[in-house]
Amino acid sequence: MQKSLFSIMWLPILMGFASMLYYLSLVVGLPFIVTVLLVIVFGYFSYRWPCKNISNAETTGLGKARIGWSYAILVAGLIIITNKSFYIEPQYGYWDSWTIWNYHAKFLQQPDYRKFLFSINPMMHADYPLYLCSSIAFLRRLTGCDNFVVPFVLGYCIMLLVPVSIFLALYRRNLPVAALIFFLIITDDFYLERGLGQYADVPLAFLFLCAFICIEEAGKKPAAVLATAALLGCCAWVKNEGNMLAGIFILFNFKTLFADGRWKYFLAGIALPVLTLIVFKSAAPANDIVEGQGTKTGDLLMDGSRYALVWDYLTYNFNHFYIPIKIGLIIYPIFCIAEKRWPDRNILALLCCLLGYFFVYIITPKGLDWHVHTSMDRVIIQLMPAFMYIMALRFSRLQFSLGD
Amino acid sequence: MKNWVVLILLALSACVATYCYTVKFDKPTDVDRIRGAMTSMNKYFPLGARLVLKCDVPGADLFPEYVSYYLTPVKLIAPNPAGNDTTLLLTSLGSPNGTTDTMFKNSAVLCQYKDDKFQYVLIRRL
Repeated sequence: MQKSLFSIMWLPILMGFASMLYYLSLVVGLPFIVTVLLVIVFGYFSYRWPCKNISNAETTGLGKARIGWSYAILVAGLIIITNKSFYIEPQYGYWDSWTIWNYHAKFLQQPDYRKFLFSINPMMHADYPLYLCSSIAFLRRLTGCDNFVVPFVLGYCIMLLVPVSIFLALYRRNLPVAALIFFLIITDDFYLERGLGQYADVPLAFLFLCAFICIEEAGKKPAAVLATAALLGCCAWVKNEGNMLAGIFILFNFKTLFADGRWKYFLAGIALPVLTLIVFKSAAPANDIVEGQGTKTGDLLMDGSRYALVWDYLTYNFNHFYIPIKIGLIIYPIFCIAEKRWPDRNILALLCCLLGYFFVYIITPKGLDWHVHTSMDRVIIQLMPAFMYIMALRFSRLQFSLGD
Repeated sequence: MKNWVVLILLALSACVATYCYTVKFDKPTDVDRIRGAMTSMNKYFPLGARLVLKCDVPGADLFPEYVSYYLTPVKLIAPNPAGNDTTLLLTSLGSPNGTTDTMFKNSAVLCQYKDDKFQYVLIRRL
């Protein structure tokens, strides 16, 4: 992994751990300056040691022409995304950012108001984890800017880093594939709207993607296990479904994360997120979907019409908003057959995540039509970058095996 | 690719986007107007008070919290069901609002405020 890629992946970890430390400091009543010092100390050590142990030389083995093209593609992409954002960005984000993330952030900006967070209208979902809210509150206090620029900048940066990190992870393996994926994402208005709309789905997608990038190095470098664990912990701190994604990821990469004494690094990386989640969840109200389960769950599972409805919405979303993934999922098995190899473990993990979402919809106690209509398009975004990366990784390998 | 070059390019993109955002949204919106008015009324709200909003701004009466996020500074948003005795009457200038007269009965006017688009009357039930 290059240093630049590690630096990009370190940013959401730093933000996540800063938000956790900030939330915990509100709970125990630490002065803000102490929290800032803790974040600085964490930032220094979390960058220095893993960076030294994970990252490789930046341009080893690449010709000057390829490096030149890489810079040109990156600059062109950044110009496109910056320009498109200007026309797409809403001033205050969309519904979820108003009523959930930025709203919750207000309660975390002053220690006195935190306790009121858990007594707000249930429609505002006080049980949702606080990665985004606590980050916004922390940054607002740090910069003294109690305005809408802070959540915009945070949303923009995360939206920007997703395609850039995929490009940096792939360009050394296969520049055309890396460029194709890069431009597919940055020209996807649906993705840009969700990112600039300050939804939490894009940060979750970014963290989950980084976990897949990091796990590639985890077998050789224990520091990558530490970073992967921290990324998975941050996933759970962004949204409740992050727990499910992290759980499935761990199941599919169990050996890589825990064998040969690597479990110590894993525990070290995930300890603070787990502690913060326990503190938060012990005070927060119950999740409405979990609380709504009971004797009716069996009936919901046996209702065939619910499966049909969820399937219809799923295919609608793939046909309208995620066409590259749909095409990739069709081509991917053909590549596997051509290569005479099984599908990658991680593509199966992602399909499992999709299946997990499918069953969450089946057992939802809310109106199913309303639930899938209002959330499924965004939920798939959480998996979209990881899907693109994993499939591109496979396509890159095939080109090399053909003797590029 | 060099780490510092990539980071500078990303920072540059973020700076340009932020500058464009501030330029694009530099004119005051309804939300900005109302936030400004609420800030001037801040002293009437103790911590934990719940603001009840009655207004004729379309869509704003759907959810009190939804509105209060935009319309109130942070001191106002902490909900406390026991303390919901303060009501803000918010009307567009020149538009008739029948609710206002009804609401004035048995209430004390705490303050009144106008800007170029809205009229704000803050009342407390007696």
